[in-house]
Amino acid sequence: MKKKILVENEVMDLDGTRNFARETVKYFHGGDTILLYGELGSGKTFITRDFVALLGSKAEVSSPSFSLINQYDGVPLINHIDLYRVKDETDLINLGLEDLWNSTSINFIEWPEIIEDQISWPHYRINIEIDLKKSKWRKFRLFEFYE
Amino acid sequence: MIKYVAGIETSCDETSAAVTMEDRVLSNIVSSQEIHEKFGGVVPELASRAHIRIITDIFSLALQKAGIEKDNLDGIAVTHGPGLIGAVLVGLNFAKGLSKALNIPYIGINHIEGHIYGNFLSNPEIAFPHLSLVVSGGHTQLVLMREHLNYQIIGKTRDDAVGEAFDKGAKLLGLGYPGGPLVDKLAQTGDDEFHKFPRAFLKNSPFDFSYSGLKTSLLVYLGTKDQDFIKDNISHICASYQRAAIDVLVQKTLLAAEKYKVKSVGVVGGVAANSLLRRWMTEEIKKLQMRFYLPELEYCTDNAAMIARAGMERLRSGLTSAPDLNAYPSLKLDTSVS
Repeated sequence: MKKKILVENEVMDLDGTRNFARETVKYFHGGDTILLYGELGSGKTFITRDFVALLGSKAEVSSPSFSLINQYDGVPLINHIDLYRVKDETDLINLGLEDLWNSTSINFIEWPEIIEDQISWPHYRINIEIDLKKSKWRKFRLFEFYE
Repeated sequence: MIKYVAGIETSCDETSAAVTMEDRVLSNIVSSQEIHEKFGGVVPELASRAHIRIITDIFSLALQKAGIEKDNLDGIAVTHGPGLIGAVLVGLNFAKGLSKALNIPYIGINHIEGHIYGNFLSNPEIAFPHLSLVVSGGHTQLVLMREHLNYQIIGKTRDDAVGEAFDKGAKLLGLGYPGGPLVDKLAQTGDDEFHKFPRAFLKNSPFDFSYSGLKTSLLVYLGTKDQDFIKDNISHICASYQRAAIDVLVQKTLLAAEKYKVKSVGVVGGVAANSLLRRWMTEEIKKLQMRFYLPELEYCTDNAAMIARAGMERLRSGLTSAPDLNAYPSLKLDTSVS
């Protein structure tokens, strides 16, 4: 897969995060999968909440770390997936994510490392960088992966 | 007359079946490593396929342990949300099949409602109005009950559940899983004023919770310290972090208990096992001259006995579920359909 950077923003506060979401949401359409990378506490769930609202869903977004998949009503339907607790291939198979790939929903996936090699079709990736010396500072990058 | 009720719970990791008679638990089987080994050496796994493999055996074991035949059952109660959709569907379809085969009614139960009724298993005398703090890996809610089966959610988490704050905090601290019990244990010998972690009190939403900021503040705090410092002060950091997480739960529960003038307060869900929460809440609720109730530990974590108990309440009020009842991953408590 080839990759191309679409947007890169350094932000100083939560408003900056919101602006990055506003700037990038236009790329996401039904059937798209977005992988979210960033360490614990970097704000993956936080920015997903912005995306869900910007995509027109009124659903309440909460962390799917425990439930693994949250589904938010809207057109298109939004799947919010968190693979934090998924430890191995067996867990992943049991989850049955393949049902989502051919659907018309938008899929946001937190902790996607375990599945990234299987996503061999065009998709997006967002990297969130954090600097522990500057608590609200974040560097966001949106990448497009394509064939 | 509804006497014997079977409960089925498959909303997350545990596969569980139970049989209750009136409000007594005759059996409560929860899948464990031991059970997985007994039924084919399967390692406990997340989600639906693992539930499918063992649900029939778990149910048979529940009947056997209760000492009754399936023909003795008067009704079936099953979790139909919130939870992992595939997992919930396994239990729901199993219950529908049983209901049809045995020609007895079944009823869909909200998982949170089940947790609240777990407290009634341990404390049948709970008086209304009753306030429940529901705290687990996936949920943080304050639920007001004016009478049986009547729920008003007066507060909930905006982001992470408190159990998740414990698990992820433990991960940042390099401790194992599950994080709650480990942090709790280390905190016993620590100074809870060692570091002041933030408490989220949200403007205009006095009863809502937010835990993602606490997690991030721990991350930032640890980033300023070296490994030796963290190792030497791990119990103090755990105590301070736990104090911040529990503080908000206690303050908001007290505020809600006073505002809604309840007679009794309960804490349910996996985090109800936290020793600081139990101790602190017991003391504070006593000062308000209200009664305070905790379920036995067996009914704190996910289990089917609590589902059966809630089911008995619904079935006895004449409520049953239609054959086309669906599973809902984010089923809301106050809109629970029957």
